[in-house]
Order: sequence, then structure tokens, then C-alpha cells
Amino acid sequence: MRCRQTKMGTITALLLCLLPALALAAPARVVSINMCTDQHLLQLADRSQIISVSQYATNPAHSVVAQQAEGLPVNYGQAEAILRLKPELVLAGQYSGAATVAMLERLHIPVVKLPLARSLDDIRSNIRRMAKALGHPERGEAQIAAMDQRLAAMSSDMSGPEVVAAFYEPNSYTIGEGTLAHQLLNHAGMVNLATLLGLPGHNPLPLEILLTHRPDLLIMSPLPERGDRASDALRHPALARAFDESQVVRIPKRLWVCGTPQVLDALALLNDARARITHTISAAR
Amino acid sequence: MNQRPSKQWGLWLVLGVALLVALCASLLVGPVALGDLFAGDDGATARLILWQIRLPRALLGLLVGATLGLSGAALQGYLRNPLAEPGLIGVSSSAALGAVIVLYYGLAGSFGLAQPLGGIAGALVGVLVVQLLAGRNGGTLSLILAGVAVSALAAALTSLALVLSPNPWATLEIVFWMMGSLTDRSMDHVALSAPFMAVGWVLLLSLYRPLEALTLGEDAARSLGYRMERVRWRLILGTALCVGAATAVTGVIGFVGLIVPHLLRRFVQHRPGALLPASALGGAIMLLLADVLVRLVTPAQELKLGVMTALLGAPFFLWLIFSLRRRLA
Repeated sequence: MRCRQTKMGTITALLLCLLPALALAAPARVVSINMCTDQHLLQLADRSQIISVSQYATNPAHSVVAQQAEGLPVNYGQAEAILRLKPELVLAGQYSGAATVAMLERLHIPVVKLPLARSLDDIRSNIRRMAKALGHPERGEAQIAAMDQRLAAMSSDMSGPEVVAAFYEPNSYTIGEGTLAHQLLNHAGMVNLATLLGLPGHNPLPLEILLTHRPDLLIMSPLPERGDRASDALRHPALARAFDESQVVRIPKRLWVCGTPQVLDALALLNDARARITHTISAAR
Repeated sequence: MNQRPSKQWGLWLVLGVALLVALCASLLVGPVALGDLFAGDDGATARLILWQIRLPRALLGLLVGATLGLSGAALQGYLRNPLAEPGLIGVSSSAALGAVIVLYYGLAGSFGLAQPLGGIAGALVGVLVVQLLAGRNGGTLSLILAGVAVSALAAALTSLALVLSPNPWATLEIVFWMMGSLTDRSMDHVALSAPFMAVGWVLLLSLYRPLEALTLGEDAARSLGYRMERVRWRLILGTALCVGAATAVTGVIGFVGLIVPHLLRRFVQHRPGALLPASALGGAIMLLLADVLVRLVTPAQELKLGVMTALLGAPFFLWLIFSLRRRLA
């Protein structure tokens, strides 16, 4: 009897031990329908967990893990097609495909929604959230630790003259407060022209205004290979006359369109650009 | 024919002065106020803004406006149809389709001239299809129906081509091509399109005498020595060249070609030949002023030019129809 009780106790203890593991059991079939959740998924999950990624995952213009996404089945974010994949977990963006997400939730499919990353803190909490949902919280913590370590090593020299920088995007748009790009710009010790002009978020900045304010640095995306009308603003001859190439830093969109650890690559480019500009300003004085 | 030559001179004088005023206004109005423009430490920025940003914009406004007014007058005169106009009969939309295909599918990267040539090819196909569908004497209704069909098809294909192209800005691009804009156009765009527009103008202005003769009827014109087949081809090629090249750099801008000839017709004693140069001037004035208004009314987020010409043109057109009906009643 006693012996049996001990056995029962052991089994109970074993079961109790297993419980948290069960609660965190890694979902076996994960479908991502958002460009940014794709990139977290590919960097945090086992390949065997990934059933499908969005159509944007393999596009090197928007994805830092385009190569890893190669060969995975692609979805176009349509509820019907997602249902047929029999997902145990669907990853979606906070603001994308609201109707699709609502439909999936009505059908009792677990959906984890990823908020927009507007700061480095948002990136940390997003990585944590994704890692937990995918059943690998330790991978998330490791990623965050590596990120913080790199960030600490990068801490740039904030002395020197004030550097005013401006984002200049296709269709003559600029980026201001409340965005990840803006936070990284501040992190690199620069002042955003959009803030000086009182333009938060994404706003059109007429070329004439940009030319009259003459920021020290222009931050642009690399020009697309194919022409289009949106990037005509970036090819305008007046821009090339007002700013020489040393005043321009071109940062690939994929480095900071999503809140992945790779935004630090963008930050490194910004730090380098700031060092270059302060050097020129000091030399001129 | 010139019963009142003094009034004729008056018209050209008024149009010329108005064009100068519109051109100056276009150079002086912009996101940077005039006072701030010259307040800077040196004149370099002011010069850059005036010569590299505002001048190409004003020049394109002039050239494209003249193109639309002139082609509208030529089409109305030849087809003897008050509704003929590059926008309404689908030439502009076809031109936009041609330019979009060339621009977004990599051809324009290979050589710069591909963009206006794409627009011209599209416009040519558009004119020919409408001609085929409606015929020379097809009457107002069939011409407009054919134009509506071609316009709708070209617009739909343009949207399709833009959505299928690898471009994150597809929606904004569609708005540009459908509504037109002169924002941030550069001297490159002027250089690309102006030569083609100039050739188109020469062809259309050469219709001066044939169109006057046509008012006596086709037989009379023929007996005066005009070969109708040649006249028709000059109209088709001229329209395709100037409207195609214009649309390829500014997108579709409607209503100018429709309104301007109607406005000016009475001042040239209803002579379709004299209406050609008058409408060219009038079109340039209207487009330049519309472009100034775009910058004044919504300076932060510029309204598309086509929206402004429609806002100006449509009510006027309604009034025109209303007054026409009252006169007939």
C-alpha cells in the first residue's frame, strides 16, 4: 500500500513537472500571414513547425530572412487557404487582414497578433511574445540578450555638433516621431528634421521645403532598379544638386521595416553616417 | 471671314497676357512662401527651387495644357462633335496604359525615351480603336460610347498592370496615372516630352485650313483640294504624339480639352481653324491656373491636378449644357 502510494506520488509529481511543458508545447503547425511575423517565425521557430509564410517572406526587399524562406509554401492571407493548412497557430500583424483574422477567430483557430514595433522596447516585447507563442521562450531571451549586447557595444559618441537628418522616401514622404525609424535616428544622436517641422508619423515633405531647410544628412532607401513614379522624387535633379553623395545614407528598407534584431544593422549605418557628417562639420570649422 | 478683326486682335492680346500672368503665378506659388524663398543667406537655394523645381513644373503645365486644348479643338473640329476630347474618347487613358507598361515592366530603365514612346504607342492604339468603333460619321453617341469603353478598359488594365508590378506604392501610383499631377516633375521630363509634343502640335496646327474648309461639308473640302484621308492621318498622328507624350509624364488630366474649345469658340466666330491656336493658349492658361490652385487650396497634401480640372470643368460644363438647352427651347 505504502509502496503504491509512493508510486502514485511519483506519477503525480511527474505529471506536475510536465504541466508547464505541456502548456508551452510548441505548436506543430504554424502559419504566418504577415511580413513581420514571417521574419520572427523564421528566426525563432524550428523549420518543422513552419507550415506556410506570407507572399512577402521571400522578397529580399522587405525580408531579412528571404533566403531562409525559400522553398516554404506561400500564402496570400486568405482565410480559406489558411483553413486548409489546418494550422495550430496563426501569426498575424495587429493591423493587417482584420477581416481574415476575425474569421479565423470565429472558427476557433488560435491567432497571435503582433503589434507594430515603434521602439527598441517594442522589439524586445515583440520577440518575447513571438518566442513564447512558438514554444521557445529561451530563444527569444537569447535573441534579446544578443541584441542588447550588440547595442551596448555600439553606444556611439554623442559629443560633437548637432546633426539634423531627414528621411526622404518615395512619393516625397518623410518619417517623424512615433516610428521605429525615428527612434533609431535619435538613438544615433541625430535630430529629425520632421520633428523640427512638427511632422509626426509619415507625412509628405515637399522637395522645396527640404531644400530650404538643408538638413546635414538625408536618409533614403536605395533606388529601385525599375523606374516608377513614386521614386521620381528621389531622382529629382534638384536633390542631387543640393546634396552630395556624402550627405546621403541609403538604408535598405528590409533592415527596419519590421522590428527584428536586424534593425541594429540600420542603426550601425546611421552611426557611421553621423560620424562621417560630424567629421565634415568639424573639419569645415 | 474676318468681319471683326479688331476683336480678333483683342482675343489674342487677352490670351497672351493671361498666359504670361498664369506662367508667373506658377513660378511664384509653392510650398515655400515667396518671402522665405529670398530670405535665405544666399540665393543658391532660391535659384535651385525656381529653376529646377518650379520652372519645369510651369513649363510642363504650359506644354501639356496647350496639348490638351489644341487636341480637344482639333478633334471637335474634325469630328464635328462637341464632346470629342482626348480624355473623353479614351486617348489619354490609353496613353497612360502604354506609359505604365513601359515604365513598370523595366523597359524605361533601358532607355529614357521609352516612357514617352510608350505613351504615344498607347495613345495611337486608343485613337485607332475609337476610330474603328465609332467611324468618321458615327455620330456623337457612338463616338462617346466607344470612348467610354476604351477609357474604362485602359483604366482597368492600368490598375491591373500597377497592382501586378513589384511596387509597394501601387495604390498611389494608380491615383497618379488616373488623376495626373505636375508635382516634382523635373527638366528631364520636359526634355523627354517636349519634342514629341512640338511635332504633334505642328501636325494639328496644319489642320487649320482643312478644318475651315470642312465647315462647308466634306465634298466641298474635297473640291477645294484637301485629301480627307491625309487630314485624318494628320489628326490621328498629331493627337497621339502630343497627348501620348504629355500623358506619359503627367498622367491623365481630363476636362481641359473639353472645356477650353467651348469657352473660346464664340470669340473666334465659330471657326474651327482659328480655334486651334486659341484653344492651345486657353488650355495652357487653364492648366497653369489649376496647378496654381492645387498648391494654394491644399498646400500640405497636394490635390491631384485632374481633380482640380474636374472641379473647375464639370460645373462649367453642366452650365454650358443648361444654357444650350435653354437657347434651343
